[in-house]
Amino acid sequence: MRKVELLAPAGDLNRCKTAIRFGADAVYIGGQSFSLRSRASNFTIEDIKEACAYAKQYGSEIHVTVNMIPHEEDFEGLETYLKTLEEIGVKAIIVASVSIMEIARRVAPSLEIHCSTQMSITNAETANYLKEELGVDRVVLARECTLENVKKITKNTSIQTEAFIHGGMCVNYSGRCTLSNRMTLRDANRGGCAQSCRWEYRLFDKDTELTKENQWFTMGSRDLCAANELEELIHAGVYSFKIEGRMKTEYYVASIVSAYRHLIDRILEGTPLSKEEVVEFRKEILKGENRSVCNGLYTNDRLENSLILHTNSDQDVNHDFIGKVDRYKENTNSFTLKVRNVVKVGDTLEVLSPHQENRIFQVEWIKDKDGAFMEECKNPMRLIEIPIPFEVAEEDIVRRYRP
Amino acid sequence: MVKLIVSVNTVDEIEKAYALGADEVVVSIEGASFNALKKVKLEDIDPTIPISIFFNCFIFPDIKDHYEELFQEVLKKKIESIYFQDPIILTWAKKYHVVDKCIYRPETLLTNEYDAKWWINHHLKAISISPLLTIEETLHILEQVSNTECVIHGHLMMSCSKRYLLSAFQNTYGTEPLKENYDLTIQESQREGHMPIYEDSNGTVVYTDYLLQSIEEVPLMVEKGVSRLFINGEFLEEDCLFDTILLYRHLLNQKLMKNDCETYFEKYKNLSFTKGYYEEKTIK
Repeated sequence: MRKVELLAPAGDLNRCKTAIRFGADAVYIGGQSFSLRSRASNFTIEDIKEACAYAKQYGSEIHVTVNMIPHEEDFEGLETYLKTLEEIGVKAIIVASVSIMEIARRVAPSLEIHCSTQMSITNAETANYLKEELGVDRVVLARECTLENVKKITKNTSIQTEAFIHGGMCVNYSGRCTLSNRMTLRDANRGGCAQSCRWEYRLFDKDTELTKENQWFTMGSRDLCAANELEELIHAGVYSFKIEGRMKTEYYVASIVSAYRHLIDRILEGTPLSKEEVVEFRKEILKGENRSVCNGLYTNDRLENSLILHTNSDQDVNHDFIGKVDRYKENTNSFTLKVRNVVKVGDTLEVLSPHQENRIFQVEWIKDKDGAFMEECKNPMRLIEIPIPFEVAEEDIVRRYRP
Repeated sequence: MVKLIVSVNTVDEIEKAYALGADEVVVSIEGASFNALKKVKLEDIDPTIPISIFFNCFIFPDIKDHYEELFQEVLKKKIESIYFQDPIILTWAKKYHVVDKCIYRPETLLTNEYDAKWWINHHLKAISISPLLTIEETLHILEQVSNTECVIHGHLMMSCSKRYLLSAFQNTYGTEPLKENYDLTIQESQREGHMPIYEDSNGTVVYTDYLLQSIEEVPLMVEKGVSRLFINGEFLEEDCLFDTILLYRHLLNQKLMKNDCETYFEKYKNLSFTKGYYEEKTIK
């Protein structure tokens, strides 16, 4: 089976390393300039260099977002920045501006150019046009494409295609939305999006209000989960599968990357997935998710099932993440961790280790750092010790088990 | 010579727009146009009258062949300009030898001289720069790039979605059908303004609550070499649209009297006119 790429997001170096350890073939990150998601903790050049070195150890790659829609002043320092990215081993840049693509081709020719989803590429002819005119290496397809659209585009272009498989979705065509600009003066196309689409709006027909208290009009999209479509997307020839979420937590990154890694590896074994397997994989993926999901527009659902209306909003905080393994103690068959959410004696926990099946165990006792037994720990970031019947490694993820 | 361009909502408005001083008149046609102008049927357009078309929806593979046929049908009219945002349209324009009629208008994406030059160097008729720019940024681009169009008046498109947002609301809360209703507005729960919203088969678009006006800025743009000045006709009543054409025609012909402006703004004082982003730069 041919190679495909699992492309993960990271907002800082820790999350980048976590994504790589848990099986990302490539990680996309933002530098401190030229990138959307200005509120994501963006990488310094030194961070990017370290990320590239770390990725190389694992056979992974680093892509850098240079995807703002630039105003004149945004070009200052761009050439130097692109040359530096090339020198320190970045594989690709993700770009939405044709002039930035031209500059990159000229000053940093070995950087791959990936056309951002901001360009709303919805057909093969546009992909081919951008390849011919600008020598781009890959197109990130618009999230508005259906599964059948993606298949046809991929079939009819010689350029690599990349498709989103998980995470937040703009309800509007990317790059064409100025709700945030209007509401907050924060430029959505230069990293300032305030997600005003998710706010509450009153709806009027002339002078008659159609909305009521708690029945607001909203425009937020549910998050995407393409577990059901992934097998077909792989067989259609899509090269790269992208998880959205540079602002998400380390737990989210580990959990979602790990789950999709297992699913992709299973698909690449070659035998078709049964319906039951797909259900199980999807369930596993959603353990790391705390927002309601949909199939995006892959199934062309353009109505309420793909939207967050406030009556069906369930943006609860996920309380499943217990912590990361701090140290495994072989002599006592136990490990220490800093607690992130409440854990009690008797709880069933699950360990996520890179490239391994998830393992579960029951908490038989808990000790604090002074060795005193406790029934439960509610204090965040407190160091505790828990026995475990198998070996774990530093940085493994521990979460509450949900069958 | 600077051209005054106006988008209109009906076939009947075309002739009057010309008579009042528009140099080009733009219409939306059913299917191919992704904005909230009322759509006209292609067959209703007189083939002897010069017309420009918004061919600005995104083209997906399943509808591509149909749209290419529609594109050819459009070319049977007396076409002045074709507004597009999906580059596939440019590949068709090359095939049918009409690149010199094409105007790249990606709404928000042309925000600097370099991107603008890249597109204009592809032998297009013109490019339309983003209305999210300050007046200084706008004038800088006009100085550097020829054949540039600026949107100077009207409601500005704020977002376009492939989702049927209004129908989703209707299905959830059981309202009357909301699709293709031109009277709908939304109001952010903490703010005053009413933003026109419209849904058709392409999806949903939202427009600004305010109307951009550029009476003071147009002379500056003309001085810096602007080629085309565009009046957005979406959600403008016919009277207001015609008065607006006349206002800017007088301005361009240097026949605008002080009381013309006063009369205009007094007559439409219920509308919320602003300078858009001319004096207010967005932040990152």
